[in-house]
Amino acid sequence: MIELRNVTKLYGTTVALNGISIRVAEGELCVLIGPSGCGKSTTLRLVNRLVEPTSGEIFLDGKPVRSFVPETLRRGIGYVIQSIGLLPHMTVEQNIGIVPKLLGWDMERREKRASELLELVGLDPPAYREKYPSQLSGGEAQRIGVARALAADPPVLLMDEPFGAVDPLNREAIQDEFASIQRKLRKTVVFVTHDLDEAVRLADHVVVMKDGVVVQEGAPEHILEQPSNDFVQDFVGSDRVLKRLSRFSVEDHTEQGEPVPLPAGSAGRSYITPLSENPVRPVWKVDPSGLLLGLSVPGDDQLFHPPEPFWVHPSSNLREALALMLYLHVSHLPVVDEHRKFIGEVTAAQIYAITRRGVGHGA
Amino acid sequence: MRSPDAGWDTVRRFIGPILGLALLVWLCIPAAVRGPLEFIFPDAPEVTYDRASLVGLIGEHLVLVAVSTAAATALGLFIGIGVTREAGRPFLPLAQDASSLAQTFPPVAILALAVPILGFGFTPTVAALFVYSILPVVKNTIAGLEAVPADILEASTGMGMRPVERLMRTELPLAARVILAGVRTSVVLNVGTATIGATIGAGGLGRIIIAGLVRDNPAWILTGALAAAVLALLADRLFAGLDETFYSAGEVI
Ligand SMILES: Nc1ncnc2c1ncn2[C@@H]1O[C@H](COP(=O)(O)OP(=O)(O)O)[C@@H](O)[C@H]1O
Ligand SMILES: [Mg+2]
Repeated sequence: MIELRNVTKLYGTTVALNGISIRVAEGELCVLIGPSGCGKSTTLRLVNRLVEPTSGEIFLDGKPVRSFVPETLRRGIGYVIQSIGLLPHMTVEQNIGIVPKLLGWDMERREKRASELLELVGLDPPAYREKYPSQLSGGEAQRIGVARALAADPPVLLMDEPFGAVDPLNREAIQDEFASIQRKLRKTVVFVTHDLDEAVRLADHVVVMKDGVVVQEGAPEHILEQPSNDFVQDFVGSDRVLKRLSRFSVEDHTEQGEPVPLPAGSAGRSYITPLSENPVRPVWKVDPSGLLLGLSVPGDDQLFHPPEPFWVHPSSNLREALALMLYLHVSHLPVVDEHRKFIGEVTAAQIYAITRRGVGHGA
Repeated sequence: MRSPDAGWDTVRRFIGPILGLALLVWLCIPAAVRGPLEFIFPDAPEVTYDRASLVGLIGEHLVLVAVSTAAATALGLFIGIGVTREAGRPFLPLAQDASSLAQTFPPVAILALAVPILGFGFTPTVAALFVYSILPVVKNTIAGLEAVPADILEASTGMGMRPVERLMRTELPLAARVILAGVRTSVVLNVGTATIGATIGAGGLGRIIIAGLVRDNPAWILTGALAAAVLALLADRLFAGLDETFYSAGEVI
């Protein structure tokens, strides 16, 4: 657990932080977001004492951080920065082993740990162990940065725009990977970004900052639903309704559909017909084992089998579901598992119901 | 990895040092050099220097250079590291200015200044060479350490390295190449400068050159100058080789 209590930080006459208080619960991923210069990095660096507060107190698990020897404190906190800062004269394995080595782990244990972590961040250990940072792509280097921060299994991670330098194409993939790592490891994470999509994708808790103060905090869907003032409203943007939808999973909004087993002997029939010509509520057709085959309109047994994927998975979010509905011109989508076994359906009506809750507040 | 040209590259890299070494060995054999030198300098009374063997003079010369450069490297590193630490930072501009300024000072002047304090012979010469060659080491140590990227320093500190650990594991390894270049400059400079040590009786290759000047014997001057030049070349190639060995294959930056 991390807590900043009434912390002020001055650089000369510049007020970087003006009496902020933030709490990050154990196992929670807290995102600090706000425009450049609002004090996000300073906040982060107070926690591992790269910066000392002008006034106020910072606690880690209830103990003031100033009661720790700084180096001891830092060895127990993973730290990832945007430029990564891999040491160019060390191999990937040696880079990952830096903190373990400082902690006195022997070579064998360090190598084993490096392999585990490479595995965890999705890089093949034999192929990457001996590489030097200059031989890595941006995305690979960033994964190594995360692996290095996790090396000594610290309970706390501080991440300062860790994926900011990764190109947009790879950024989403690396965010998703990190989200799944975090689901597994449940670290207490303070994560700085100025990218709202990233915050919405990863955060359990969002702290919106401006000029060294906290302007609003809460769950991302809450902030998107009810921006507390014009600044936050502007910051979250006019597409906040869509962004908010990405916080809701298909799984939580799957309704019981109506699977209709095909009559015997008709399983081979399929017609390539665009869904858009089917404005009415569809009947989902499954085979005897429950696999989705296609759909038909009520009162007509003809099986439609759209040429493109027309289903969503429980792990998708409602924003993705809505995008698919708009693309296919439909108001209903079947929900299937990874084997395409029918689970239920999501409907545009549900999505509208959720978005309606999110409008009409703020300005 | 290995291109068809690699073999030729190797030849090119080693041809200079090998020829240099051959020349040096040849110069060291009086019977072998006598003929050609007598041909070039028919008027010289005695073309080979027989008061000391050239091998011995080369040995003295190398000791002068090695002792002074080793001491200069140690102190230069110490100063360079010192003024780039937080506590020493106020002295950084001073160290930078002093190292630039002092290199414009002629080595003969330093030698002249050293004599009244340290007397004649080996010690004042080593001292003069030492003072003169601290400067490239200080300069390059500062340059190398200051060039370590800020984000790498931040990451190192953020991971919990103590200042000494950070120096040893991050800063010095990253600055090593530039520091090595400074030592190389010192050594090459000293091989040449050490010849003037003979004027105050320090021995080395300067002795044969001075003797040649005093006795008006150009064959001796040529022999000494040639040997010193070849030594400087070999020293330079040695450091180039070290550099290539440690910093090939894109391992560093
Ligand atoms: N080392 C420093 N010296 C002086 N001013 C600083 C320093 N670090 C940050 N600041 C100032 O403090 C404010 C907050 O900076 P920072 O925490 O880096 O913001 P952010 O990470 O949100 O962009 C800025 O106005 C910045 O210029
Ligand atoms: Mg910042």
